[in-house]
Amino acid sequence: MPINKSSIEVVDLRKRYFRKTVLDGISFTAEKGKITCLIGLNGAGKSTILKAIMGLTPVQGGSILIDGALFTKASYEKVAFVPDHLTMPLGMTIEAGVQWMEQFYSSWNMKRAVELLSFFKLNAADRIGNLSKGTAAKYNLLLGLSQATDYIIMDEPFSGIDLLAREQIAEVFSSELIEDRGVLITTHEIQEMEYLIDRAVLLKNGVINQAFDCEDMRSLHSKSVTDVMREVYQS
Amino acid sequence: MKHYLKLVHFEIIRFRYILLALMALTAVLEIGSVIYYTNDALTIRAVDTSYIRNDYELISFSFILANGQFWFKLSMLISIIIIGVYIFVIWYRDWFGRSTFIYRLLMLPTARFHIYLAKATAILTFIFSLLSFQIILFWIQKLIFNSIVPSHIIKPSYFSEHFMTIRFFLTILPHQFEQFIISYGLGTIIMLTIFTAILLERSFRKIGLLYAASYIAICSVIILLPHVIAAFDDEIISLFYPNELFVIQLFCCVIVLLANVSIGHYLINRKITV
Repeated sequence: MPINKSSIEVVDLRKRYFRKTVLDGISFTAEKGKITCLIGLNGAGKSTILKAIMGLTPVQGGSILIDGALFTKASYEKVAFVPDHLTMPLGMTIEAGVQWMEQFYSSWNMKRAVELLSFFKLNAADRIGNLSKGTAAKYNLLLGLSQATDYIIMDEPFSGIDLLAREQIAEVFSSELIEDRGVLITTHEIQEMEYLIDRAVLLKNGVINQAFDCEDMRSLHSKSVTDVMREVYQS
Repeated sequence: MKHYLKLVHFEIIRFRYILLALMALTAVLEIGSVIYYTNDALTIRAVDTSYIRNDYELISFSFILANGQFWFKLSMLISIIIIGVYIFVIWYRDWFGRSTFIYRLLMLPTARFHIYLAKATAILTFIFSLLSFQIILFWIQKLIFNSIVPSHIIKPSYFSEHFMTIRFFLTILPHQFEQFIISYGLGTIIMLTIFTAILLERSFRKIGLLYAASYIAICSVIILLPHVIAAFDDEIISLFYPNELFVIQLFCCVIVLLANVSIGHYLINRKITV
């Protein structure tokens, strides 16, 4: 398989939980400057793929390449991960969490963090444990976007949050904060994201059923991502 | 190294309130005990302390410690139990609850083994902070004792006597440096064995519980090897001189220590799952 520079490349990823095969030879690429969406029904293994990319769960086979090189601890300065739940101690304040990140990541951009605090209207003195689901999602996004990384991986950034918070987060995707980065995202809110994503990767039964360029699909086959999803998952 | 020190600092910050609470509890129980038993001793001698008929009526600080040793043992036991529980809490709290901080820790651009080492260093800092506080507390208690008891009925006593009074102290703060190293070295090995067992459980989950229990059992047998052999065949053990047995036991401890470090290193780098 050719190694694609300036991309996250997942090659032949295999994962089993006891005897159940969850990922059976998953290979795809998320290029820099593009938004790639990983789509699948609940339990399809989307989050597992993201965690495997970030080295947060062991796999039985396959490799992860960042810009053509194997993933190492230095890759955490190149790839940021935004999980679907809080990952900072609940007793910390928003500000303390931001300062904690600054201590450990040389890619941390404090100016951007301050801008995002104001953009998301987050109160720096609030305790992380007191944040509502929507505010927690914005804070997670702030922690991910404030790292000046080439790639950002997001797991269900719209999950369980209200309309206004969702709109605010969606706004980020069309902003300069995302522009030059490679984005790999999983979401159930595909209608909301459809006009933003460049590439879709559809998972079914532990394998990739389809991977396509969304623009090509629209212009060549007159199908939206939702149309393809219906074909794949309702068949 | 810089990240390791930052992680140690962070872990210390996280348990600072528990440490302060334990220090406060220890101070209240022990100082309260000293004040109570000193006043009690004075009441018994009572009456006229200006005239002391014989040496038996003099009061030493060691005597007060001996009378109130239940409270001293209780405060230390509470600290030991809390530290024992905290060895588990320091790992598991990063996995459970609304926030899973282990994601953040494992995604740091640093060697993951630093997380393991930082948590171990934090626990040792916790222990030695309490130990240092206990020594300072002795000094404060003696000052309080001296301020309550009229100087002419104080029987002088030394720190070494205080430790002898409550034999439990000798376990926590041994007189000989070698014994100190052995006690705390063994304690560190036990802590790292539990750390590695926790990582086994966190890596393999349900079946990991079995691995963890087996690992602790195997490590216990290795550490106690001379005693285990003696239980089966006393004659074999009698062939060795005591210092030879000590070297064998030391060797067994080094094996367990190396196993803890190498297996812990492997698990946190390759097998851990969030």
